[in-house]
Amino acid sequence: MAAERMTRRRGGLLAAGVLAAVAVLVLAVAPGVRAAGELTAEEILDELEGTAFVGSGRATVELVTVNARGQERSNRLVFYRKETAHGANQLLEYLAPADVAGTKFLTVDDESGETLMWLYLPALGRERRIAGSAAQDSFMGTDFTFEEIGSLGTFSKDYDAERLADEVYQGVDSYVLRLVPREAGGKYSAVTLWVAKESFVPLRVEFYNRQGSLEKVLINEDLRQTAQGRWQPHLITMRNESTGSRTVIRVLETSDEPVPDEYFTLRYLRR
Amino acid sequence: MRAVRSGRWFAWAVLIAFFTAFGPAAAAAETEVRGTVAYRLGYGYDAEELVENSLSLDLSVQRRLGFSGKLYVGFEGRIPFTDEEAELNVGEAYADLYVGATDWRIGRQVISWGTADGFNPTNVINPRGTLTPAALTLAGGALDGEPVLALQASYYLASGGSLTAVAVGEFVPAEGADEMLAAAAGRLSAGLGGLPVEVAGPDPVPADGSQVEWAVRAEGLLGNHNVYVSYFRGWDDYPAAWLEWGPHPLDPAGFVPSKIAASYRRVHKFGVATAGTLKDAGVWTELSYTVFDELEELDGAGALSSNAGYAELVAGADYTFANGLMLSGQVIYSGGGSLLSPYKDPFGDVEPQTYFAGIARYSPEPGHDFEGILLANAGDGGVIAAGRYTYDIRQAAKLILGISRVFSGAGSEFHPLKSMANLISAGVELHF
Repeated sequence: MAAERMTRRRGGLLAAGVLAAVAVLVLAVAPGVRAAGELTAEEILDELEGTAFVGSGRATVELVTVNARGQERSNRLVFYRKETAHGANQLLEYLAPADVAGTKFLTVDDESGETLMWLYLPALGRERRIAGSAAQDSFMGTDFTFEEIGSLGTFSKDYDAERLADEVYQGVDSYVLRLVPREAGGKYSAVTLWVAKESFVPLRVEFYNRQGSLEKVLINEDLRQTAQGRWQPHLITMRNESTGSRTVIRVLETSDEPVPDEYFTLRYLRR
Repeated sequence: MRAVRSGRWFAWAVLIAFFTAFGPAAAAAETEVRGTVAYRLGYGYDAEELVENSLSLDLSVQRRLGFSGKLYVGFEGRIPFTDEEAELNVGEAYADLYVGATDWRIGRQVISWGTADGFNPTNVINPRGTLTPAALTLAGGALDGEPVLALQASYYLASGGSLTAVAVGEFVPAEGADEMLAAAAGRLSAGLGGLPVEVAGPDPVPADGSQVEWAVRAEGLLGNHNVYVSYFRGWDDYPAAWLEWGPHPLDPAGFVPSKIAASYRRVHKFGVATAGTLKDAGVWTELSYTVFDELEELDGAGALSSNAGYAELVAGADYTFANGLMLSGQVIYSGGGSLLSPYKDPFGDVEPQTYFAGIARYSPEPGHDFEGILLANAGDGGVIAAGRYTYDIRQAAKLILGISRVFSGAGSEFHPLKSMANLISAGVELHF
């Protein structure tokens, strides 16, 4: 039970972040539909949301965390997502390493707009509700938090956007947006995005802390187009500039096949 | 240890049978073999003696049958580096079958109900034992259940709720009753100037069908809170006990307690548990009420158990701060008396107890985890505090260091535990 208690914390927090990260960055990203150059900052954000947060499917990923001393930890996860009328249902299951394998994390967006979260630990033998505060934590070894990654989907709600001059980022024509939070008290004072004009994938996202210093950088690479014409980054890196650590998500396998509804139930968690 | 009663031969038989049945497919993706090897060392710094020095092995083999079911068998071994005997036992061993909207599970199983941390009054099917200082320090205070042979069926409704029925074919008592009653007899004997007080019973639960226990549970979402309502009809995990009197050996005209008699008795247990969130905090409650089939022997003077029903309640919450610090607090009301013992003073009434349990967890950086656990008796002011540090030596390999201490006055129920609970511990776990 000792390991279980440690795993509970690690599993839940890691799962929360990875769910969000993979949801944003792995699942289908459709090609842009608007004429380039005419878009406002808000329209680009809407396009980002409208493409990055659609779709259902499955992805198997390897998540590697590297601390400032170069020590690595690797987790292998399978992730399921399905859009619903109220948002999305998501399930993450740990495949490796052994001390967390079998742990499952389920999130369900309900009709009230609340996201319900459950963590299932094999050693505990039952599910456990996870509170929103836990999802804001910096979870085990990763440089992601639920808020940081999840906020990609709520930028237009939480931030005022300004379009800066377009740039060629890593050889890709990109929109550049600078976002400033509408309300004080948030974790970041500003966020800057480089968004590929063709795919609307955010290629680089910089997070600035309250002091105005660059704190984290998110980079999406190895974009591949699926048979359905959707774009998927297969290498995702979150680098923490203040701690020197980084988290790398490598997409091993994806599928657009619809995921059965029963995956997103307590019944499936318990099996 | 969950299964110390199973014979070693049975463990090997199940192991061989399992691998015989599935050996050719053992390398298939559907078959998973997992386990943990752990060395644990505990040293009582007041008693100046080792309380734990052993190597343990947990091994499980699981074979998934697609969406139709699952086979699972677990083994638990312990090699003590003392004069105790080594053990190898079967843990859980069951088959799952998923048919339509119903999931079936048959075999030796632990059925884990409840929503609270560590102490779950609605988790009534498997015997869970009492809280011990060693469990608090070495195992984080959680009470494992011991597997029982049972059939469980869960019917899932389209609404997301479910109905579960459980039939338990064997009665497995909680461990430790013999030792507790022997200790009570020893205290009585000492109070009688050394006159002998023996322990008689309990007789085994009859195997005529009346040993069968059963339980039902309904669950659903109510206002975004998971709500579980349960009922259990079966046997109390601990035997009821009472004093029997005999002639005073030195004064034939007088009577003194000469024996502690014990007998198992049947119970009804009603339970309600909830789990949900309140803003950004997690909140949970558990309430159970136990009603006994009455024993006449408990109505007179000298009963160590009571015929009176009692309630148990746990209410708790947790919150994770922005820096990653997680704090959890629970209030535990035990209407049946102490969490440490199911028996009362034979010449007194049941004294309900209220406890506060707190947990703090913090990871300053990946691979370094700190955990603090505190259990306080609100009535007598006694406190058991335990801390643990876990370091990930490498992936799936952990070093665990712990320390615990009792802070109590002479009148606290925790006070007698000092020699056992004031300890330091170290362990290494390898997961594969």
